[in-house]
Amino acid sequence: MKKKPLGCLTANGLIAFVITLLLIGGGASINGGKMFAPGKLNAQTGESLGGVTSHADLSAECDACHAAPWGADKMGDRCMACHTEISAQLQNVSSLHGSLMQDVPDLQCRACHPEHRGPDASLVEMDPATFPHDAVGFALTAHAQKTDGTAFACGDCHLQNVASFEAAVCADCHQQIDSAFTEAHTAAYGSDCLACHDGVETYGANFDHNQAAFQLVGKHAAVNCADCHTNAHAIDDFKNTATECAACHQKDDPHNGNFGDDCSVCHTPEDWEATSFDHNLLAFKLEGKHGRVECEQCHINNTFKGTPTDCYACHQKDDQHNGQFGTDCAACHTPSDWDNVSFDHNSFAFPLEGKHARAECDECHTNNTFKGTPTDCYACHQKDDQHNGQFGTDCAACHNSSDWDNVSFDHNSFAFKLEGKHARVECEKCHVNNTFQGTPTDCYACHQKDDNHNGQFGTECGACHTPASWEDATFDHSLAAFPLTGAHVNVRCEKCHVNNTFAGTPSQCVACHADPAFHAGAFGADCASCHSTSGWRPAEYRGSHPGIADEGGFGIRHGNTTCRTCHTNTVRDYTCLACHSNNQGGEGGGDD
Amino acid sequence: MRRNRSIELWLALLAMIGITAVYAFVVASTNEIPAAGEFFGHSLGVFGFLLMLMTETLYSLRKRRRRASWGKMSAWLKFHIFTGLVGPFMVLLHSSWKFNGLAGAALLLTIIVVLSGIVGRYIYTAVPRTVDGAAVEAVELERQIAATDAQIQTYMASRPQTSTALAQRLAALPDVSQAGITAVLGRALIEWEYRRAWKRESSHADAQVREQMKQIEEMLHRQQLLKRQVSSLAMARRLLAVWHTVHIPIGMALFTAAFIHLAGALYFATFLR
Repeated sequence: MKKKPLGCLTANGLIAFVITLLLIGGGASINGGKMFAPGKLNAQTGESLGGVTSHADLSAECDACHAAPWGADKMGDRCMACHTEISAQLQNVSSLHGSLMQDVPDLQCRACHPEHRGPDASLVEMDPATFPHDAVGFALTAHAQKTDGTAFACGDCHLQNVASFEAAVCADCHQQIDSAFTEAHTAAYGSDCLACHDGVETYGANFDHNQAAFQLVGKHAAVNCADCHTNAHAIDDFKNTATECAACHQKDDPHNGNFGDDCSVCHTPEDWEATSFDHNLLAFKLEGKHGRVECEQCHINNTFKGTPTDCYACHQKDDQHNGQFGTDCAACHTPSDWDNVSFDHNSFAFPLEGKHARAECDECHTNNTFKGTPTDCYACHQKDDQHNGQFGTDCAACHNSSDWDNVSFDHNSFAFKLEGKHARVECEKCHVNNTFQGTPTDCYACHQKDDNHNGQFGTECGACHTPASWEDATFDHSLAAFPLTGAHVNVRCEKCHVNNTFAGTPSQCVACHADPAFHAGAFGADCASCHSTSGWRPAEYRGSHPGIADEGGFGIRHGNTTCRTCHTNTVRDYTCLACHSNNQGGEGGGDD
Repeated sequence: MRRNRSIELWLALLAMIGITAVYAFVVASTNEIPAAGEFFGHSLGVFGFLLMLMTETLYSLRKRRRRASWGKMSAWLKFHIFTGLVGPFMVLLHSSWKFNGLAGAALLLTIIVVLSGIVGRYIYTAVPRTVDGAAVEAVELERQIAATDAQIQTYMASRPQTSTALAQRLAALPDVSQAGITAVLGRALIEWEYRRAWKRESSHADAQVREQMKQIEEMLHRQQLLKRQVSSLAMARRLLAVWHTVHIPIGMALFTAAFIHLAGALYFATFLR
């Protein structure tokens, strides 16, 4: 089966194609390229350029503006072929077009001058957001929107045409925003706004000075800009305006700079006159009567800087001490009351304690002399010394400042300590004739008269006697040649030391113990061979015994007998019959 | 499948809504209608025209390649309809709502072709086709009608106690198997009247008959459709031929004007220095 041809290749299709071509071709031959135009050309007439007064005159002559894509020239060249005055401007960088082309060399005419938008449409259309307006010396940064929020159109500022600008436009518009500011501003800086403003910064109602480093507070807010920003013509001039008080207020300074540059220490922007000077913020605070003193009394000749702060600078004339207390009056005097002296003698080397505190100054500081006043006791109290200097010059060793008579002499700090009854003895007893120096310290010096031993025990009474009690002598006989043991301890002294004689007292037993008759002289003078100091009886004979065996050298054992069992009278006779019935009698009677 | 019969229309609608949203965004952000010669407007024109070219060429080429490996004819038709709607819509937006000059004439032709295409599709769907889009002949339609009749008779015979009442309800339905140009161009109205009558009879019938009407509805609808197609098949084919005769020259005029517009735009604007 034969295939059908494509629709476009059918007879109907081809006929339609041909007819369409003919219609378009016919239209083109009659109207030129009009059918390709996206819209009608601008019909506003102007100066005749080569016999053409508007672009609309060229509606049928596309190639008057449209160069062939493959041709040597461009559309811009064809624009310049007619608009020769613009072509001349391009050579001048100070002109609108010249400056634009210098900044954007590839800028096309049609970027700002669109066409085919109708006979009445503007031939100039520049989008402020994209148009390089800063290339003509004024950026639109601060002119993106009008006060009503709508976008700026070129005609809002360029009343005649975009190539011209009248400076009055600025003032006219800004008068409506803030007339007071604008009038003051133009009065201060003139009406040539573009001489200072480049359009980058914001001004007027939008400008918030408080966002700047120097905030406008108080009366500063009402000051004209030019009062502070003198000779400022560029934004940097405004930004670099000095913010120190003195930059503006130096002329107002009655202190001749004595208080420095920072006026705000005392003055406020709210009121120059209402100073809030606080002298107490300075090194020299005004306290007491100083607060009521007239400034001129200290700041002579209205001089504030370098005013001395030492007391003497002002109070030398008041010094009754002739400078003896130095120049620091505040050491004693206070700003509250000159006469209310709070001199603290205790801060000196000689603190006033006790009765010293009540003494009149001139008692020590004679002739109103303070410097060099001696601090040793004797300087004042020599006249009071009843010891004739024997205790030296340091009265304070015994006396105190609270009470001269309340002596706190400590005899114990001396070599001879007062113990026991010595502490109660009147001083004169030892220190005869009020003589203290050289007073002997040995016992005998005082107690010789009390020596009942007639010097037999030497002069060192303290060996037996104590200061606590003379009577309670604690003589240690064991230290002597004859130690007292056993029953000797309880024997009264005079039993042995007859007639209170101690020296030469014999130490043999027989000196005190007479040989008893029982011994019949059989045992000699050494009582201790059988007796002990524990007791005269019992005695234990350890010698040999005729007729009776010695039992181990421990004595004689003859049954349960004692010496007196057999020796009933003396040891030289005996009897056995006391025990034995067959008594044979006679000496040496034996056992039965 | 009945469910996907108009999917290309929904997809086209969706695409147009999406394109409209983007267009609205551009308008809102630039605060002006996108010019035909600027990036967005130009892009709309370029892509819209490419879609129109595809509309014009791809389906025609497929019709001349009857091999199944080239895809179903119906799928190509859906794509043809999709591009045939979306492409002109983009070109319409490309116009920036100016209809002067050759571009305006081309746009007018585009609108005419689109409307013509909608009419053409309506006529096209009057001709019964197989699943892959091939036309069904009258003999085949008669066979299908006979088979459907047999199904309905069998159904009625199995329900003797209610067949009389059901037959009375069915007899009250309008006859849709008309012939002539009305059966082709006015079939939507005929179909609408038939369905309205069906609902009326169904609502008046008792519950049992109503249930049977529901069961037999599909068979009867198909029977009516086949009968109408048989009676109007010749008229539908004639109308389709006439439509082709008109549609193709308009399309040729459109593309001729469009190509010349394209050349003019390239010369005067795109390559302008």
